[in-house]
Amino acid sequence: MRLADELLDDPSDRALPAPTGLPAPAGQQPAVVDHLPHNPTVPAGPRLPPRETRTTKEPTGQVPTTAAAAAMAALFTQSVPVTESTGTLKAVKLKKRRRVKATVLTVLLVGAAGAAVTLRNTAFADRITGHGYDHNPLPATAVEPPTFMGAEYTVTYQYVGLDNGLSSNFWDIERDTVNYQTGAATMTIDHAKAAILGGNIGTAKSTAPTQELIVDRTAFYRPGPTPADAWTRIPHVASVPPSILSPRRIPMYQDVIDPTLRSQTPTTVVHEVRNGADVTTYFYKIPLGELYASAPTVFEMMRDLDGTAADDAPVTIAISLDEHWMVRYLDIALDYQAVLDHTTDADPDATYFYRYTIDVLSITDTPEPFALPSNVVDETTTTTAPPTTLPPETLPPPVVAP
Amino acid sequence: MSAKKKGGHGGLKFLAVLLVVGAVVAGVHMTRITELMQRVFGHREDHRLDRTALTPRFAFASAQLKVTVGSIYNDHGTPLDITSTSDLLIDRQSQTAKMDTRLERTPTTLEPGVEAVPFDASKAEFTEILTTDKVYESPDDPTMPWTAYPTGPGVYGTAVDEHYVPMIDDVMGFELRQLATETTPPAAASSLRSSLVTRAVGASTPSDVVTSYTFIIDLETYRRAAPILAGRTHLDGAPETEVTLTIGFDDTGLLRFVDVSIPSTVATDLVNATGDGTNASYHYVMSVDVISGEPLVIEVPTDVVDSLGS
Repeated sequence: MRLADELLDDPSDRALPAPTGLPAPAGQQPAVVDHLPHNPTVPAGPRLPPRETRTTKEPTGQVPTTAAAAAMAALFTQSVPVTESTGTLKAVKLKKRRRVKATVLTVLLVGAAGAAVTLRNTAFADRITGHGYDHNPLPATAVEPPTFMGAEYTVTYQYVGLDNGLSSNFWDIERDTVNYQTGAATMTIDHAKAAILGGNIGTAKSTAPTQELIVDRTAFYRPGPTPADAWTRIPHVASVPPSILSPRRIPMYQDVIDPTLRSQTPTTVVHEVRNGADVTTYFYKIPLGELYASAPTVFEMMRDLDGTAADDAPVTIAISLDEHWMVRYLDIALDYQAVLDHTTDADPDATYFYRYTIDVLSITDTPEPFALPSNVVDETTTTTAPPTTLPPETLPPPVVAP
Repeated sequence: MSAKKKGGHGGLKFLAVLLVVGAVVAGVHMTRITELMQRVFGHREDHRLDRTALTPRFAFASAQLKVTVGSIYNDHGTPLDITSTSDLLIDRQSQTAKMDTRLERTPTTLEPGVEAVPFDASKAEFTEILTTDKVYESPDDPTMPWTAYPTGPGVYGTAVDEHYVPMIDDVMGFELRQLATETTPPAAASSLRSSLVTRAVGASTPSDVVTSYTFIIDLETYRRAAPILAGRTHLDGAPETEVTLTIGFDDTGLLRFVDVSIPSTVATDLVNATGDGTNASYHYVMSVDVISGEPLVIEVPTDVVDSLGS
């Protein structure tokens, strides 16, 4: 060991001590050089050549030609047998190699770990881990809406409450056919209700006949009692046209999905065909108490849900997006049984909004033209909303979310 | 002998390297259609879901705000320009708020020589205490009991709602972020707040407005791109009505300042059309002056008479 350490050091930096004359270990008889004393007292030891001592070679039989060389050879042959010295050197080299390998391996591992930590949030690291990849990615930007000249869609609001002491479901259904080119639309409004028995909503029965209206940028037009009667023209309040005449009433991706909702994981994603359009539908299920924190824009749309059910009542959201990121179908529903459980005791006479649905039936670049009524009388007062009256009749089944 | 041995190792090593390289190539070739390799080769970049950078919600215990609303009120056919100023104290722990409100004629609308008379002098100043289920309104006569009105079922949009001071991600959706904005430096934003009350001593507050944006957009865009503010400010008018919106956030992402306005003439036209007793807002300013980690004590009145209506 000592020898190995010495050999690894630069021998030119130290003096080689003279032999001490101690007896050699058993079985190791030092060779004697005649012209050298066995125990010389040398004040300053001979300096070894810097490199030659690094390699120990077997004696070749050549006689040292100088005194120094002879002394060196004698010293080596006296202290360590030649064969053992070679084996030790190999072990030392092997150990050194292992040490170097271990050091290199450690450096590599530490470097790899450091690189992994440093690069863990990089785009390339995401490629390997798969973080941030999705087969149905939602954009992180607003999307320019497509241009279309006409659309047909339904908007449905649903409520629950007591009707003659019976839990009931109520529908308000608006069906719009809009010509954005001419700035006119026809709309029909239906009201219906059904009892809720055994937790299931029964068949919808109309509570009023379908009401038909025509809208343009200046007024609503309501038909008379018979086709022969004049239509009634109801000007818009302060000349403000209703939102039905704006194509943006059909929401775009960014109008429903805000950054917070985008960061939520959908419960299901389904590719399907809805009303003839290829769509991808994203389903979310969020407890009411977490709806604002998870989807503030949706909560704002459904602000009337606040306080109408327990915090853990589930809100299901279905958003169908077409290739232009237009919302073809949107359904936001709070569990109506949770609403009934929470609110009926508080105010048995009230109805509580729990569901909003917009279903785009079609969009077109060539909308059907339709004429505004010509036989019109002006209503004396303006109203903000079209009136809804007339006796009940049976409605077709309402738009029901999947 | 040693050189011979070394040469033999070199051959083996070379063979091993060849085998490893071959195995790697074969492995890559065989797995090239897997999701992982497709991602590594960059063939899934169209499936990359850009990270949504959300600001964590900042939890605070109490807040002090000022809300100023300019509106036109139809008083028997005469439009009055009224400014209501409310000083709000909010304690989130108890979900209680105190609101001191003053109503006054907007000075800028006064004609020379016309005295500034509140439209309802008896209710020119009043205090409301808000809880999750009731609103307590101060009496005209201090010796009389307060009146309690039931509210609910929800509190959203009121001062006792835990999200009444929204975060930046609540306010700024994708569209608003992309709209042309004019970022005003903090000093300019602060000047907007120069008339606000001084911060309470000892309150632990985040820094003031550090980022503010100004938008000039139409009313339809405002409602669509900033629905949470639109739902609170109740501005009405034609879709093309010009809206000037300034919003400011502090370094925690809390909304600290809102100034949104439409021309007052739009509101005047609206109340003229809708008739006596109606009003329409045209200017809304909210300033969150103090955000604190310490709760506030807001006393709910005990000398109360219940009102049946809300």
